[in-house]
Amino acid sequence: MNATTPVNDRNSCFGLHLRLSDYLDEKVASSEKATIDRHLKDCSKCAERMEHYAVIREKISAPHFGITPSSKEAASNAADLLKSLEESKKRSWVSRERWARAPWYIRTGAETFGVSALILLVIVIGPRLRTFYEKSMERRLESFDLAEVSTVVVPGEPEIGSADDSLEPESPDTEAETLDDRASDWFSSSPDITSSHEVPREKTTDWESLLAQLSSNPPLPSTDEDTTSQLSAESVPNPSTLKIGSSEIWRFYVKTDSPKELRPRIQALLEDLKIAEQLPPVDRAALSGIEAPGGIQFNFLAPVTAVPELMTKMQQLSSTLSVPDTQEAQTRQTFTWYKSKSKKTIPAGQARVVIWLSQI
Amino acid sequence: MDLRLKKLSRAKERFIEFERPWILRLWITELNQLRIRHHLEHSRFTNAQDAASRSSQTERLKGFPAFFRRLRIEDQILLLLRDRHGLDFDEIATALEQPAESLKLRRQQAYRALEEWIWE
Repeated sequence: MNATTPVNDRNSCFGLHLRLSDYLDEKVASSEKATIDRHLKDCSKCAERMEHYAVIREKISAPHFGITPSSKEAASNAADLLKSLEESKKRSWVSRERWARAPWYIRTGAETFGVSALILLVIVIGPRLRTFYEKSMERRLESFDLAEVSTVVVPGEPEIGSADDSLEPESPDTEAETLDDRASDWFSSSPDITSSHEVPREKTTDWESLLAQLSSNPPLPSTDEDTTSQLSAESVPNPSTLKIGSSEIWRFYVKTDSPKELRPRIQALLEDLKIAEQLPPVDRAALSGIEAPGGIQFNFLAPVTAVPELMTKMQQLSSTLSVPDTQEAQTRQTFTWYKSKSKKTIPAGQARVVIWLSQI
Repeated sequence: MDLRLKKLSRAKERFIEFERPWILRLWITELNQLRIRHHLEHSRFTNAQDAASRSSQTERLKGFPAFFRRLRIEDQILLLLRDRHGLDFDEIATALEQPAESLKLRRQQAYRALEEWIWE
């Protein structure tokens, strides 16, 4: 659109707006100006708008008009700013000055009381926080132990998985040195072995019959059932089906009235299995057994492949043991075993075996 | 008229003809940079908000500069150059680097915006 473009609809408000700039500058043709004037007479809205535009134009062209804020406005703004700054400064200093002007005995007393209260608070809350922390740690450990220990195999056998880990050696080098001490600690803290191995009478009968069967026809035929986690003392382990997971501790408990007599037989059994050949020289000392209060313990790392055979032979060995007639029938079971997960990583292809010859 | 005055007159004409749009262009560029650097728009907006909070039209007209500063910098320059200093649209178009007809429409839009703010 240029200056000569006529308004399409001369009577419309839109047409006026298109030509507004030229109309304000009086640069429209006389005929067009007359048309617009007529429209302004008819349209009160446009007439009012033109009045407003005239006022705006007057304001802009006024001599005192400027685009920057007036000095008066700027001065009032600056005064307000200074006033607010002074007030905030005054507010922040009022309390300090008052406190500084207070008598010394009030200030000293209040400060002493405050410091004493703070110390008392620390003394009272500190132990409580510590107790709370210890309890939470105990809860975490308990939940951790429960999650770690796998299924106890023998029915009625107490779960002593948490105590098992105390027997776990820190390193192969220190195992032989500290095993005796740890075994004694474990026995002092664990329940009585002889009383805890009680099983129902009928189960004992089954167990004895199975042992007899085993001694006569070893090994037993394999079954298709998964015996990895639910092996029980009643089911005789089959070396071909027995699965041994990683980082497992296998425990064999033999009750005997003379652990010292049984000890060389266990040593011979371990020699037959050639476990010593696969162990480093430092660890071979554990194969000779360690005397501890209440019995003798063997604690060593064995190849996974040797564990089922070891179990079978241990069962055969225990079946030959004589139990004194004075013992209760429930405690006549001479061999029990179970497995648990070790918290410490055991090298792949190996399992920790703990043989305990318990003194009846 | 002596030769010296003639020379001055010619120099003035030449300045008006060629150099004034160039100086205006520099001034507008500088204003735009200042606006970016010093958040001029924000200050204009807050001033206009203060002015808009006034209830009557008479009071609003008193705060007209604040409403004017609420306009875009280019529109302010356009209105000042045209309505206050009376420059031609061609010269303003050269300075603002925009077509003259576009400037006419923008002038009308600026008037409309001011009218809405003051007489709404």
